[in-house]
Amino acid sequence: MKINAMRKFLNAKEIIIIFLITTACIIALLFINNSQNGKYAVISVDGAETLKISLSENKQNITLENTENIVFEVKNGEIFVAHTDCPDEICLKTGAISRKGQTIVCLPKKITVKIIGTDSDADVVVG
Amino acid sequence: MFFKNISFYSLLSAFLLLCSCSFDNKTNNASSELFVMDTICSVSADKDDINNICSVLSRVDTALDCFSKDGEIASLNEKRSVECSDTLYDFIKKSTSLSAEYGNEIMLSGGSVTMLWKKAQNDKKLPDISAIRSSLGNIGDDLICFDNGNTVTLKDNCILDSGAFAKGYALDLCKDMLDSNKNSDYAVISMTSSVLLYGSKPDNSKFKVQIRNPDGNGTLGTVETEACFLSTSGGYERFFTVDGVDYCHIIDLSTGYPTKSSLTSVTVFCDSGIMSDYLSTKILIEGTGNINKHLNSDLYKIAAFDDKGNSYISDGLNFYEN
Amino acid sequence: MKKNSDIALSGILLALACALSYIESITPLPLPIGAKPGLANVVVMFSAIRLNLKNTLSIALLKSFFVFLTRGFTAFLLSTSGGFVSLAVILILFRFSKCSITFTSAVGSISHNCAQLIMAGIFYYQSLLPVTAYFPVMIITGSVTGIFTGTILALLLKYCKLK
Repeated sequence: MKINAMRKFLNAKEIIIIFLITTACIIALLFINNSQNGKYAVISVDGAETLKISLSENKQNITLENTENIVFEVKNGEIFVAHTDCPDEICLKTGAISRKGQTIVCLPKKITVKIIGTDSDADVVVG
Repeated sequence: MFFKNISFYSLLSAFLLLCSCSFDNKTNNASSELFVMDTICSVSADKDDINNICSVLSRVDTALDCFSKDGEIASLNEKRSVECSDTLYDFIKKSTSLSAEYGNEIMLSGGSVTMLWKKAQNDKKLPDISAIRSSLGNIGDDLICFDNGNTVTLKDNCILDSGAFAKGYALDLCKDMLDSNKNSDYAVISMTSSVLLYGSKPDNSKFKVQIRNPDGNGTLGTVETEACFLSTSGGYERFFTVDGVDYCHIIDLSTGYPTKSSLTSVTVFCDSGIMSDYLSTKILIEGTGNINKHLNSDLYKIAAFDDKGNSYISDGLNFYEN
Repeated sequence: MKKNSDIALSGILLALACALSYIESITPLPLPIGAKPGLANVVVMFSAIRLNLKNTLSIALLKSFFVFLTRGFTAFLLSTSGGFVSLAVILILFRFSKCSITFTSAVGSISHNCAQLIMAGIFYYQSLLPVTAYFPVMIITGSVTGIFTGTILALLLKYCKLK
């Protein structure tokens, strides 16, 4: 291996390369932060995934094709049931969910809403 | 010179081999979901255990089902005397001994009262006082009689309701199955109000359990714990409303009425599933009056919260708000 | 003669690398999680320049083993993956390119961080998806710490007349 034959400090070309790489990373960071970490809610009917909604945009009046009378809404990174006709109303009372592990369930309509794609806060959510 | 080379390279290769051995079973986890016991159960475990867990849960579901015609308890309630499966027999023994030891606010034999209130919930009409009084006469674990073999007979109009014990018991059987396997080192089985945390996580960190806020907004906090059973009781979204008044779905069998406890959420951590299920409901019904006795117990740890924002956490339970 | 003094030098460098690595692991610094100044890299790079390949590899190997003994298996896994990938990158750059020491050190640090991140993703999450967001941060901190350690080494070489 060479010893003192090597240049020691950065020359102009190398500075430019490092600068470009760093700038690209900063841009990537800004982009990632703005897309709000891609949290999604997945709505399944009878075990089959039916609808996947991003929680980063507020959205009202979300309905399912083959299931009537249940309406979801996404607001402030959370999803909740806005309206339903089922007698239990458990799904309404569950309120809004936003973290992995939380679920909204409507047993009569066999609907589950789950959150995916976040950092794993918890192994299990009880209550 | 030659030997030094050999020893160097053999050390190097042994070292690299040691590194490569660590990668084999990191991706052994799988998840599954199934509808049992009137709730969604999520299972996260070693791939090979998933099917076994699901079959244990289905078997227990059938044995303890109080409603559908396949349910063994439904059949016992109807026929009044039945030769039970080992599972059901064991379940009845364990449930009744818990009530005998800790209190009668919750009993397996409480079906007359609980069914009355389930009907009230459906009809949106409160039951008559006389109906409540007469249903109270039909409860009591002494009305459950054990005859030859596995035969169980129900006296008078006693009806069984397994709701307060079933999930915990199902999880107990899952743990027994995983223990007998000897190869299982991790599982999380959650039925939302009862959970089995088994073994240790792949990265060896503690299990993190978030307790939801009963009023639906966010969480009360997180508990970090090693493997154990836990169950949570509280109003949550299963209350029902009649004439503008909210009633909790948990019925206090000592009064015959839905509980009006000042505690809004109770989570019990211990080494027995059925005990955690029973105790979480019993402690909720009891309220804050007796809470110190539970905080000091050696057999279980609790995290309880009341309607004034106070929390009651056992020493040694790693709980933090977030 | 030269070989003997090389072995002695390797031993000293190994001890130095282990000590630096240990001190860094217990000193908290305001850097993103997992990022460290990497002073041990100064030692490794010096060894790459001054000693032959076998000695350099031995130092890197035994340093990793030291991490295994003192900090446990997960730390060992992450540190080793980063260490060996960056060592490979450094050796390649030294042999086949005419980059300065500082630049090589920066590239080495970046590759060290990225390799660690990939290993953490595989080990903890069985997939790279959750850790993808951390790559830009790791690259930036890698270049900063790399320039820092490379400059230290360059200054040492220039002003201390190390043979």
